[in-house]
Amino acid sequence: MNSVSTTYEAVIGLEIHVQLNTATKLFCDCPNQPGDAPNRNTCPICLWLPGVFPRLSRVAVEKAVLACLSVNCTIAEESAFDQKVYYYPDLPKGYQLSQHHKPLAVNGWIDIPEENAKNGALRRLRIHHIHLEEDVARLVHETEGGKPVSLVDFNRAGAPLIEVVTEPDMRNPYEAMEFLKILRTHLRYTGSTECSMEKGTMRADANISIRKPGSGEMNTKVEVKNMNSIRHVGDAIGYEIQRQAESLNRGEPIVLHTRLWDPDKQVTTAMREKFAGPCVPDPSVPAIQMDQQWLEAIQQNLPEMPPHKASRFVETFGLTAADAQLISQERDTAEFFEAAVSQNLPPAKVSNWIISHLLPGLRDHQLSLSDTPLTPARFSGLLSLLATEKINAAAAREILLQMLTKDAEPEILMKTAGLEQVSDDDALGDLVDKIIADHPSDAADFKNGNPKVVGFLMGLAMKASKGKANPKRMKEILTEKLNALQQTSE
Amino acid sequence: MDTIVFAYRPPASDTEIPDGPLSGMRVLLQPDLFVKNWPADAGSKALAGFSAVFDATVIARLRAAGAVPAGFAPMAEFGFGINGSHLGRILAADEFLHAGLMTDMLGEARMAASLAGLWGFKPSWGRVSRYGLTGLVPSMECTGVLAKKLSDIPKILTRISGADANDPSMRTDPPLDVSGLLDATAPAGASLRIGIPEALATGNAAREAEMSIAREALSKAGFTLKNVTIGDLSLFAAAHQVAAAVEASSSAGKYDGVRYGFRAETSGNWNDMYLETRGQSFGPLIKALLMQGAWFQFQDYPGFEAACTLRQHLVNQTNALFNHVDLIALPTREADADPLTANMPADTYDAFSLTLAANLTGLPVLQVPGTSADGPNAADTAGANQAPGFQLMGPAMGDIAVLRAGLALSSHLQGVIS
Ligand SMILES: [Zn+2]
Repeated sequence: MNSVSTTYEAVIGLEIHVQLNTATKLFCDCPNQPGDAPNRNTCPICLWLPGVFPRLSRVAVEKAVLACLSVNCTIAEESAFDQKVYYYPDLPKGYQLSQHHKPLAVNGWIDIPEENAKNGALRRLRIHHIHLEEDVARLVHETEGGKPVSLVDFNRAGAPLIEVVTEPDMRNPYEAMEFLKILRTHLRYTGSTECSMEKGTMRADANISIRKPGSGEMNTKVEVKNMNSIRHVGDAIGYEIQRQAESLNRGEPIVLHTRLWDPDKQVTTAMREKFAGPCVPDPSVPAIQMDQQWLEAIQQNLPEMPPHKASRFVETFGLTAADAQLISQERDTAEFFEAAVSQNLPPAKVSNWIISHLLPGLRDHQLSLSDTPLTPARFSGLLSLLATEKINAAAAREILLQMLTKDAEPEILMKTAGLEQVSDDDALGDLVDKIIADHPSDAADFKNGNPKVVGFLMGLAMKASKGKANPKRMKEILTEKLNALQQTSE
Repeated sequence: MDTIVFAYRPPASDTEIPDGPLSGMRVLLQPDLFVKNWPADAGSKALAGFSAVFDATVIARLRAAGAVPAGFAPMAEFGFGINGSHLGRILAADEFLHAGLMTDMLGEARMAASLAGLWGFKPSWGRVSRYGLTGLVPSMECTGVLAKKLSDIPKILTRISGADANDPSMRTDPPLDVSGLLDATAPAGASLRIGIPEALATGNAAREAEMSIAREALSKAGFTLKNVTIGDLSLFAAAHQVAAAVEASSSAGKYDGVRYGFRAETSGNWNDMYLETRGQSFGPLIKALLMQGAWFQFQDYPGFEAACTLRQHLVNQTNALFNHVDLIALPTREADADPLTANMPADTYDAFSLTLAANLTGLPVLQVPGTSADGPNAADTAGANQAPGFQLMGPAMGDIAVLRAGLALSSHLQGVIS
């Protein structure tokens, strides 16, 4: 690898398809739910039958515009649909409605942290344009009575997509992966899309070429498809750079073609020659005229974007840059944080509990915040119980996990599980007395000047209290009693 | 006279006469317009066995007004040209029929009217919904109306025109307001200036004869005649043919025989099935048109772009004529080109050279029937001896002005029914 990166420089551009989460398809009123029973969500328009016309969804346009604005694009005053002409059984109309000559938005960008940057330096990666298009049908290959058959499911036909086309600004797998992560964060913030590579609502293809470092040449590129996670995108690009370098070193020219990433074998393999059909203006879908008034109305719905949010969290709440960035990664997390902080809790405490306990808990249970009955009020209620020493930290963690699935106030959960903290000196004193009495040799060790036994006895005492004891008070009492023991013997 | 052969006639139970402003008006149709549960093959083997699951907007609106869909006449494949079309002839010959609807891409509705001695009207593009029209050339085609009586045309148009959310490429105008148009006291529009392209009205005996009748009637109606230059018709034809071929190639792309329509027998793989099916589905004229369209799509995109630029230029140039005149009168057909037998793009375009400008530009145009001493519908059914008549073309969305002039003119023409 080292020799590759010094001999050659990679030039990488990405084409990312993102499915919009509109209620209906792009050109008809059918539900935009590709996963339903096959061909349930269809009508003459999305079955591409004769006699009907596409009716462009205003909501889809607005969601797409919002997505474009979130990555700093300029929205075109006029954009229009073209027919991308090619035939395949998943596109029996013979053309796909897409925007080629007049895309929805142009000239966007995303800032990513420079690789290994210690000083927070950013690198700007440009987006050439973003356009709207319809998805094609899905082919299902099966066997019926031993004979292979191909079935067509039109649920996905006409689903709204945006395609983000970057400039060839990326130079290594890290930059491509970082671009995708930040793109995903921004697009999810708009509420326009789920943007999951694993679920297929975000698909990324990479165009890769290599050149002598700093030469500025644009050499023949190879397109790589079929990566279904961001990690795979990085792996596939890394492999492809290496493969092209080895080809050139052997004196073999790079030919324009498309390759598929094989995640099991960790290699790319050539696929059939890409068929580039023409794009002719569609005579039936009216052009999208984005006047200032409409654009402003959409802009109203653009939330504060993550980079801005993160720096505001640093300034307003005194979070560290790293914490602020983590908290603002997902819009629901950031909004949850702000709502919880507004209940007069120390921001650092809230962010710490979100980052260290809430987010890992969600990850472990494969939940997102919106899947849970947890509210900011309940979360801050929990932290208040902790702050007023009604529960200890271990109990708070336990209750927090319960709140991810149980629709109940933290006090109720505390009482039901008997997790109230015991701070009563008499009760704690009795516990400590019993522990000391049961472990005379350890008490003797302490007397002989070994302070380490305090930790050991403390652990036993907490265990005896079933974790409910106020640990601070318990330790004070234990230390007091051990010291008293020492003095009596002297 | 030939036997009248419908392509489809509804069962008697389907033909109850509803109340409404068009109650009892029987309208002949072609199978490229959806009538629920009727066959919808648009005259093509590619759509054999396909039937309509809903009424086209124009059909639903006609029914709501009390008109009765009377049946389908045989039509040219996908309504491109009129080779194989019988609508004009059947309408002229069947005394029970009042009007017909016929898709006009090159001038088909006007040409069929001309050959049958009927009135024919192609509305402005965007006036009449195409929802439920099988279609082939979306940017040119428009439902045209043929009628024995001119006054039936505005009566029908006011019902079928107007915005339709199911055809979003059309204008959002309300239905045409024809009130006053059919009122006997309405002004005849004597002050109208009519432009006549001199180059089209001279140099050809048949056209000269036809246009001299037109001049006489227009003058009698009190209109002022002016000379205008419409430009080289071969440019209109070239722009039309390239754009139409490309659009047709896309429109017909969906006919693969997999889900509906004709499917060829084949022992090969799916590619063979598609090739065989499409190879056998289309007639020679459509096949040639689709090949031309595919050529421009795949091999000569700049050629297509040039045609689009030319089209825009011709639209602007034609629109500008209406700064000087209110309407333009021009001949309808050439004596030496036969639209009924044209079966290749070249002879089809020759046959429609005088009508296609209105499709390219989207303008409203009225076919005024040819006058003959024996009356309008007396010509033989093949139309060979029927005087061609002429066209009155108006500015964009000027449908009412065209019809008003036609009504004013009709009383000065022999043997036509206003
Ligand atoms: Zn649909």
